[in-house]
Amino acid sequence: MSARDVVLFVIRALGFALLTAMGGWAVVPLTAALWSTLATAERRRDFHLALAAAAGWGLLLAWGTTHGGTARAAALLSGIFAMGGTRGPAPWMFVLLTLAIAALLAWSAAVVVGTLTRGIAGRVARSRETR
Amino acid sequence: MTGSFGPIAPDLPRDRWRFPVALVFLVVLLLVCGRGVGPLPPLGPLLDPAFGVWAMPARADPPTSADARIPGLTGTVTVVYDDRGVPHIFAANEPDAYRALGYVVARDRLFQLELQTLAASGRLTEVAGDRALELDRQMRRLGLPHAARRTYASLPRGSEARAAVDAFADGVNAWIGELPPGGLPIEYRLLGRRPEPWAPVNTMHLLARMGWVLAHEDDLARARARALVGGAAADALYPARAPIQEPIQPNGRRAPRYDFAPLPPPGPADSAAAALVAALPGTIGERVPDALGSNNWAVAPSRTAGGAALLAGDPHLELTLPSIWYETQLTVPGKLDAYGVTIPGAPGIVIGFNRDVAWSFTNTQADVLDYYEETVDDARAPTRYRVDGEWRPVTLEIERYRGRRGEVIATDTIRWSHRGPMTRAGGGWLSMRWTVLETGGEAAVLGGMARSRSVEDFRRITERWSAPAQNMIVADRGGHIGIRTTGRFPVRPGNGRGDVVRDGSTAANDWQSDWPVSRYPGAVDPAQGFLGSANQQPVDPNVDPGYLGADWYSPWRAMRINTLLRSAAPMTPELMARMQTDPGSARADFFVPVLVAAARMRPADAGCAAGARLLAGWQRRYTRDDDRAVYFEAVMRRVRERLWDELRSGSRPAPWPQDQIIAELTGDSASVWWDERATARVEHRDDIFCAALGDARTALEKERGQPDDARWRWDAVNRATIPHLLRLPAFAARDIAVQGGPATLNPVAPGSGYGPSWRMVVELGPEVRAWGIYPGGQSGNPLSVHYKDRLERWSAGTLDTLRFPRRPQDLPGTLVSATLTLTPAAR
Repeated sequence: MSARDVVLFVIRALGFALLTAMGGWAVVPLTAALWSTLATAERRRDFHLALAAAAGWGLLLAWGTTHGGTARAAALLSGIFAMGGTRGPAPWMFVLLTLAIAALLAWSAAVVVGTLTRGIAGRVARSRETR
Repeated sequence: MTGSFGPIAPDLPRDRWRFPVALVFLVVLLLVCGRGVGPLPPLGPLLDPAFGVWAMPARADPPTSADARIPGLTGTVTVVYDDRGVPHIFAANEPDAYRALGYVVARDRLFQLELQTLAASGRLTEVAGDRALELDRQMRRLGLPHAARRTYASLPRGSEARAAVDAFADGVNAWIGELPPGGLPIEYRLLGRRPEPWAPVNTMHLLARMGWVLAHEDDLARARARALVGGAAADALYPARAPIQEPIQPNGRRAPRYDFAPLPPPGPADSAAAALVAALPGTIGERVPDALGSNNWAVAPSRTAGGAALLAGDPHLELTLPSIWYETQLTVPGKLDAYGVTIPGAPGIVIGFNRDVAWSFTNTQADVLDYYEETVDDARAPTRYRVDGEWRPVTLEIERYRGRRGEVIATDTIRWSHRGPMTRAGGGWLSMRWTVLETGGEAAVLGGMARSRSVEDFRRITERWSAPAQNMIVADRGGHIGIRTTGRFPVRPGNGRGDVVRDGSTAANDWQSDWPVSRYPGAVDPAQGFLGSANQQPVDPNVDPGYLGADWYSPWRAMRINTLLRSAAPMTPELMARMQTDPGSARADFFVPVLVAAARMRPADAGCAAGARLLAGWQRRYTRDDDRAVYFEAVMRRVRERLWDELRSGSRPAPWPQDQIIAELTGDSASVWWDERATARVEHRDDIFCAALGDARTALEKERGQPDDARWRWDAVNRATIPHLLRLPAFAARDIAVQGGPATLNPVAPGSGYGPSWRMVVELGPEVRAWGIYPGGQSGNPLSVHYKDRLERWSAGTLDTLRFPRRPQDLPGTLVSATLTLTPAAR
């Protein structure tokens, strides 16, 4: 991984964090889709975007931890999902689930939109060649 | 790439699987995150790290300093939160104070406000779907939403009550309007809802619901008993004259009077009552007699150590998290300076004190709800009903019940006679008249109580209170104490009783008038130097035989209160607070000697004798470590089951009579009631008592080991659970050990969810001092430090010191947790 890759990753992670803080969870797939169309030449960009989204959300959770809240919120979620039982899933699983949701939203949106974009671009190029 | 993706197929072979997999992931994720699937709430807003649950802890409690703007506000309002999360509101005028109250209540209890409104207005289906349909139908068929709308419409524009209700709504809506995305209460996230704007009529819905919660329904319960054992026996089992007289209005005696008389034997079933019972839907819940109830008492300066009047109150209601109560101070210089608890949604202090007066309530249990059998033109869908030979039109109202997405899921036609809402009863129709449906002045009375300056002033203001009827106790700084059973009490024709279903075809059976206020049971500054109430019969029928109700709670708690007040050394606030969790039991004091004596009459019965030995040495105190209360309660349960077997036959059993009726029967050892119909032999009193003593011991030993086992401790049994409003286990407080038991001053019945919802002691000296607590905390946010910060102290029976500053700066800085400045905003 080059220094450029690291910088790009950090920028993307910060971007995901900032945009989520401004617009909520739904900006993650939109942002990933946008980046996916912009970075067509990047290898494994979908994977990189997924990691960056998870890292961005991880930053927000870490910020919550400094305010003493993430552990309490995780315990609350565990209780909610106990579904009538006395013990719910382990609280850390909700941290994992949250990061996984960010990663999957970013990855799936990037793959779908990136694929469609390239497909359309390829079709346009082929039709030009045919002409 | 092949198939439908062909035209824009990606070039690389590895993309063959990635695209469809990613597409499926994306669609599923957007569905799960955006709309939720099955019982799962939408996970996107829930797990959003910026606005979801993760962001809630940072916003769970007010920032140390904040500003907000409220439309309609005419001046700046300062709200100082103390270290217990109590907002002290300082405003320039009363409407502004109520705007601020609406704002701070919404900030702490927004979901509770909305859920209560939905429940009271019969709209729970909009949250819970079909599951809540029957509850909603019940609420609407009782006419409560209709009454609330009518009451609000009847408030004159410009009136003080209307201004207060409207101002409160301004405040709630200001909070909703500025609600940050991360500030949405967790319950809304789980339900996938947003808060509705708060309509002023919601306050009326809430007050109507309180009337329903506190309703004491006699007529149908009595009908069930009549259907099983006939009218004479039913009247004796649920009497209008309580057999133990320890009334609220002092009757000049220094001890209870036992008006015990032989009960008429069970008679033949009343076929008309049986037909009525069979036709009516629903069931009457199993009640544990004397298990619950509220207390209040006041002591005159002549009996207090500090030379100032003292007042204590602890209303017992359903315990929930968050609590039904919200603590606050409302101060408007020169006009209003009151502290106490309000019910979220009510613009004012319900129970509390000001600089001169303190007050509290217990429920009267009066009979203010009557049924009439109507003669209708069409039994299936009546449009007219006959009164005095003339047909009158039935008023029809179409009610629509909506589901979660606003779709109509059911409709209902509610019929009204001039008396009230009508209910189908088999082939006929009943109409119901109920004072709660005819209220109007309560919102104004709340404001008046908070401004009252003396006992006399308070009593004058509360004359307008009509429902729910309450035993209002009051004390003032001038050293006066007073109590009055206040509400609207109808005068009925004939024998005046309201616990029968009357013939609606004649107007002569309608209510004729109301009791004049001067006749309301009560007293001011009695010679005994104290007053109190505990839901017992308010007035000795030898003093006023007028019918106020029947099936009164046994006066065990009143007897205990009066015993303690008569015998106590000069009373102090500390003693008053200790009384509120007193573990003594007048009921046990009555029955234990009787049970022990019964065992002596059956010396050959070893099990009975062993059981009696367990009780003989008992101190009769329901402390947590007591190891005999569990046995006594098991014995009483078995006595009840064996004794009242006549009431349990058939599919519609009658409710248990109060335990004071068992006490009455102890004087008639050979009464036919003691006989168990299922056995060949004829049992008498001592047979039943002995059998209960033996059975209970055997069962408990089997279940809990020998009597010295720790499982016999009272706190192994008597543990309270306080549920969340949505019954979410994660938000509940479970397994709380509490002192006290059935018929004690601190009756917290395990599993019932009812108990002392607010405890308050006030000393009305030169400077008012007060202490109080309720189970839970000020915030409805489970992540707030004030969600259930008081539970431990409530469970231990300790009270918090209530801060009552005259000005914001009078609250010491160390006790200030946050300051909120509210300023006017354009509408």
